[in-house]
Amino acid sequence: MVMANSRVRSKDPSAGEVGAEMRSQVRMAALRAQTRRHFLRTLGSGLGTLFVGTSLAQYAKPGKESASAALDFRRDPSSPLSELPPQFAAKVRRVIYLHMAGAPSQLELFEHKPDLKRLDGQDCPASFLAGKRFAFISGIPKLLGSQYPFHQVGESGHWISDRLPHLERHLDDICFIKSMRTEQFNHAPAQLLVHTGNARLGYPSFGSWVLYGLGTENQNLPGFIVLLSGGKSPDGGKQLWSSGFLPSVYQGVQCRSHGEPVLYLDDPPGTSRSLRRDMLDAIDKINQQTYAAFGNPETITRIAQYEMAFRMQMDATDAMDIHKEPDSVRARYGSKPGESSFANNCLVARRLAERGVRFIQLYHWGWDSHGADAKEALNLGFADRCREVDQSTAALLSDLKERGMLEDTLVVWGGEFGRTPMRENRNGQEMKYVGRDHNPGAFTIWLAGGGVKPGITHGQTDEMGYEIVKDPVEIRDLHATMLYMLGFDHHKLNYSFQGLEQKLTSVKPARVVTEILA
Amino acid sequence: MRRLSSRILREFRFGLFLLLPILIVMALLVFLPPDGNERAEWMQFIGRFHPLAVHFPIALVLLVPILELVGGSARFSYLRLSTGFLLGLATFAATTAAILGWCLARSGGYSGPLVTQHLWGGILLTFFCWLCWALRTRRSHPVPIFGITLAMLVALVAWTGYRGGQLALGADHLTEHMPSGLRHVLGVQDGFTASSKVDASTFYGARVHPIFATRCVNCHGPDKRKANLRLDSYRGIMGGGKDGPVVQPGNALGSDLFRRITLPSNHDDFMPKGGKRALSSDEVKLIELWIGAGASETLAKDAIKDAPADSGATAVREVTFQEIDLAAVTRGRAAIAPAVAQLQKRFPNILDYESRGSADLRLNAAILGTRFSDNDLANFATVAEHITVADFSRTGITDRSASTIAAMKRLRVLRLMSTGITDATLLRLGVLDQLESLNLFGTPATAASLPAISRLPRLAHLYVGQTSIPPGSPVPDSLAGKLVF
Amino acid sequence: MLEQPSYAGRETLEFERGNFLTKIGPALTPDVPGLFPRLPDDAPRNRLTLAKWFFSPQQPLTARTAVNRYWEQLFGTGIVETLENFGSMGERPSHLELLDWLALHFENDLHWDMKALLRELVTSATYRQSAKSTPTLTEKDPRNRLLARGPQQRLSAEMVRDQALIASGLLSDIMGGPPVMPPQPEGVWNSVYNDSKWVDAKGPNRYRRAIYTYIKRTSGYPSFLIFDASDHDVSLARRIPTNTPLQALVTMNDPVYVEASEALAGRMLKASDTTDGRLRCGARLVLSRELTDYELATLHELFEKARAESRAGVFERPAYGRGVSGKEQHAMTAVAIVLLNLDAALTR
Repeated sequence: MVMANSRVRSKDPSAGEVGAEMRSQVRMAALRAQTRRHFLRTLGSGLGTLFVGTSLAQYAKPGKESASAALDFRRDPSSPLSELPPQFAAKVRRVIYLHMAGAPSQLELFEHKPDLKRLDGQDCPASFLAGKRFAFISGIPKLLGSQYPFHQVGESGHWISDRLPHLERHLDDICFIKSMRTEQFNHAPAQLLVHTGNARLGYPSFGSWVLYGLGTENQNLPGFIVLLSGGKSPDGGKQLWSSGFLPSVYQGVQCRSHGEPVLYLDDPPGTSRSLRRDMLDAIDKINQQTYAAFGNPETITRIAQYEMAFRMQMDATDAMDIHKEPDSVRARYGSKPGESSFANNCLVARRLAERGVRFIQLYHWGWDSHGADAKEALNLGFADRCREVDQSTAALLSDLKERGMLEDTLVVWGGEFGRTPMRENRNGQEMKYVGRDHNPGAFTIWLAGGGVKPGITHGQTDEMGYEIVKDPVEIRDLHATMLYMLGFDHHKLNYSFQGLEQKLTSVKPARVVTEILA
Repeated sequence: MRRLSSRILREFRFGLFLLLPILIVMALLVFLPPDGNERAEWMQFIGRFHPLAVHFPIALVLLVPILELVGGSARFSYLRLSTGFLLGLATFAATTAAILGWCLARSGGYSGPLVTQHLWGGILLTFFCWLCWALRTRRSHPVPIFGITLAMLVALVAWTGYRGGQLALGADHLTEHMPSGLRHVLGVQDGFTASSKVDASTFYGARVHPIFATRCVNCHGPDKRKANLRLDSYRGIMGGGKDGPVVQPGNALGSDLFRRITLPSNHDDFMPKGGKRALSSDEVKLIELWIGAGASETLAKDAIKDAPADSGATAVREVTFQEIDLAAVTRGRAAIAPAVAQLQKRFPNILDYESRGSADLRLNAAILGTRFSDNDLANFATVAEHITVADFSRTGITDRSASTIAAMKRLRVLRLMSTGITDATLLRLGVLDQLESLNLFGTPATAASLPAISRLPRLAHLYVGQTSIPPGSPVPDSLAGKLVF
Repeated sequence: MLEQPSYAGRETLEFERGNFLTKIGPALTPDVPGLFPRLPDDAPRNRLTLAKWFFSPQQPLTARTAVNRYWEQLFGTGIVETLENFGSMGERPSHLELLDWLALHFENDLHWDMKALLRELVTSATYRQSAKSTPTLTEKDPRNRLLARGPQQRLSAEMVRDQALIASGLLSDIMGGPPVMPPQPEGVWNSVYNDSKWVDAKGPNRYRRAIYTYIKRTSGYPSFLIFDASDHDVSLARRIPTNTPLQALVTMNDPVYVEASEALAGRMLKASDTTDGRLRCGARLVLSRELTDYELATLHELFEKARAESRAGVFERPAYGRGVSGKEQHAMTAVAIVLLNLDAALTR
């Protein structure tokens, strides 16, 4: 085959690094190529120009953007996760989201309701039941006071039960939102709503939006990492961290804190690193020749991706290896290597945060305290869950604070809805174990870190903890607020799909909860 | 004849007896007027009875014309027989009230035109009252001098009483709650009238002045100047009162004004006096912040961070998003854009603008780790002054980069976690007067660097975990509460 | 699935914003959007009418959409890029007259014969152009919408697997039957509501075509998802291809591909006695062409390096050829992996 193109390289690329010439080639290829339809952005505004914009964007003259234009999220196609600055200066640079799948009972953790305790065991008033849909409650259930004693802590005076003794140390750093509200009363759609902004499938998750808008600092690691614990996946499944209609490069990568951290990260047995390097060099060389022959910019991109994969093998293995932490640190988290546990995941999360991962999500399964069996009982299984997360959450906050990372990390802890002040009575019978049913009308989450005003509580529920009486916060309001802390107007972080400028906060108006902003 | 003359003499003596105190009071007013200073407690005590005492002569004076008018008819003609007695009594009572009033004004620290008008009105009407008494028998004179005098007396009572009401309740006490229809007809303006030329775009004008105007100006305003202090204008505030300045710019705790509004409400010096409720904690905080920021008249409205939300606004603060003016941004970046582009090419992924609308830079070399050295950092000297956030954690930089770092004068956040930076560099960071957060976690920093760091005016967080600074070590005052171990 | 007779049909109401709890009356009757030709007045409102309506001569869309989709399969991008959306919010056709002509041709001349259409497309001069591009051309037309060069696109997820299996000779040509479970790492597949497990198939089911893979919406097959396959949540007419490091990890480290590489190495070793001969065979199997001298030299160098480095006896398969040592086997496997990962292998 004749190579007409004079760009044949006469010397081999240097081992281990994409050489400077390679980089310039990549850049040139990228500058010429707008090979990704999804990187084309609408220029100009208005419905008419939307249509024109999407189809003719590649022919648009530069500099045509008006002041009210959409933000441009185009990037060099060979590094779709490269960093972009936020819309306006923001403190928060990364998010660690701790999701307690199953909906933890706020009445046993953060909502102190002495009136409910007083009425413990009495029949639930009819007004609570009228017009409501329950997952399992039927007939007239009884009211159920908190199973654990509450006390106040710290300068902030937050109320907390005795289930989270380690977390108490950090209560003055935490902002509670006690008036969260959702429309979904079952796990999968509620989790989808919390994590993708829509109760239906097919929408990008929060982490994907953040990656799309901000990229990630460390190109050698996935920018959006998900860690699971508790024995099962959350009900919403992989959709909770999928990229939806955003390019799939922004999807969350489920890593494991034991076994292979990233799927297929480990070389096949018997392949040494140097052999792998030699193989990559061979691929690079031949691909270079292919590029010389055909001039397809995708080839250059592929070369870059293979290099990145090689680096990721080292960096991801290192990042997820908690053996590298001293025993004292592991003891603080309560983590034991080799297990799949929330404690291990918290320690990994801290390591990932240190290494520039943008969005880290931890799911801990098992909070669905219906009381149908011992695992779901408020005085048994629930206590175990609390023990599993308490020490490590507190250790994570301590570590972040100590390293000065809390001021630019946003930590969120919460479930997908709340639990009822009524005791669950499945099929109208009193159950052997104590539990509560789902309550979408009010639940509690907490936030800590950069951008959040510490030590306050926003919103209030009634004396039974059943409905919100002050300052309700919808999920989309929470999303708008979190995006604001990250430096975005939630209207402007959007993507054209199915004829709409889609955004995380979906179509209903959302409000930034300014009361919790620092 | 002798009976008549002795009667006349008696009357004359009595008249003189009545007149003399009036003249004495007049003399007192002329030579010892109220001048805004406070005097003897006993005088203040008896002076406080003036508002009580004043109602008696008012009632009497108002009764007299009624008696005269009604007594004009044949049926009630006997009523006119009491006029003389009433007028005499009224004169006596008015004189008493005037003396008490003088005591109050003189000793209670009153001054201002309102007071002056009121007291002269008061003494004048006392005199007119005496005049009426003297002319009471001249009823049937062709020129109705009695009637005229009486009318003037009543007018004086009304006017003086109005002034007195303004003194006690505020200059707008009658018009404040006037229905708008009536207000319109009478052409009365609402809202602040005195000292309304305040610039609402400044912090003083928008936040501080309204507090004074609603809570203090009644006693410390143009109409009534207790302790000779006016709080209705900036000049008045800064000019101070009879005891000197009440505001020390920059020092809230040393300002008498601030001291007084934060005293317990049963304290003698507590302000506002007169049983009024204390200023709210938000109001106190605003004044504290304002004084602390220099008590400026021109400081911009939102220049002071963390000021409590405007309690006048009922709506909660909502965010507003500004459109990014791309042209302006490009202009703002023009000076450094070529240098930035070059550095981005050479060191990809570590340098970028802080936001899409900003020309400030953020430098994050942490991801390069030990591959990033002093020589690499030296390249950034050209844009050093534009860097507001710098993260050198886990890099290979050493004290050799001290000058480059010190040149980043606009740094807000500096992270040196796990580097080899020692006290030598830290001592040179005193020039970073914008620095809010300094991260020394895992460095060899020692307590010797703390004094230099303590001088950084805006430092809010200092992370010193795993350094050579032991957790219990003594810490300069300005760093108290800011260290994180 | 038979259509229900009209007397057994249920009442269909409108859901407000898709919320099944809020229904808006009155009952709806089946019909077609007003923009299109109407259904014949005398025809019953059932599926047969609808089917006929799709193929009626007045219906412009069916042929156009169909033709566009086949075009996209072959050329990488449809004449109308938004396959799923021919409406005003979709893209305009890049070659309107071509689309019109193809649609009419497909409908009237070819009488909806898909095979005939495809034959026409692949034998056209446009398709048979060389994919070689020049810098000027790439700059002018980066995405090849104007078709001044032949089409070039990455293999789809299923094709990547199938190619590896074909090249290595492992592909099982059994058709039909229940879905199978090719190897997947432990702990990845997660069934939340029941206890079903993923059990890696043994025997021929391990090497079936990708299309026979068991699909679960909440836990898709990772290698396919990484190569942009649909996760089956929503109807996806058009996959947006990406180019990510995770794909590199799949084709280099996924046990499926490692196994395929071993088998491919075996075939190469059997095919010839000389290294060069073996390498050429590998290229023919994977790339369907001969190696250039440069490529040959590169692969040869790799082979030598790998052989020198390898620790013998690592890959536990029986030797494939006469006198083939474990080291040679190992080294050839490395070469096979490289062949399967070349850009030329992953692009068509």
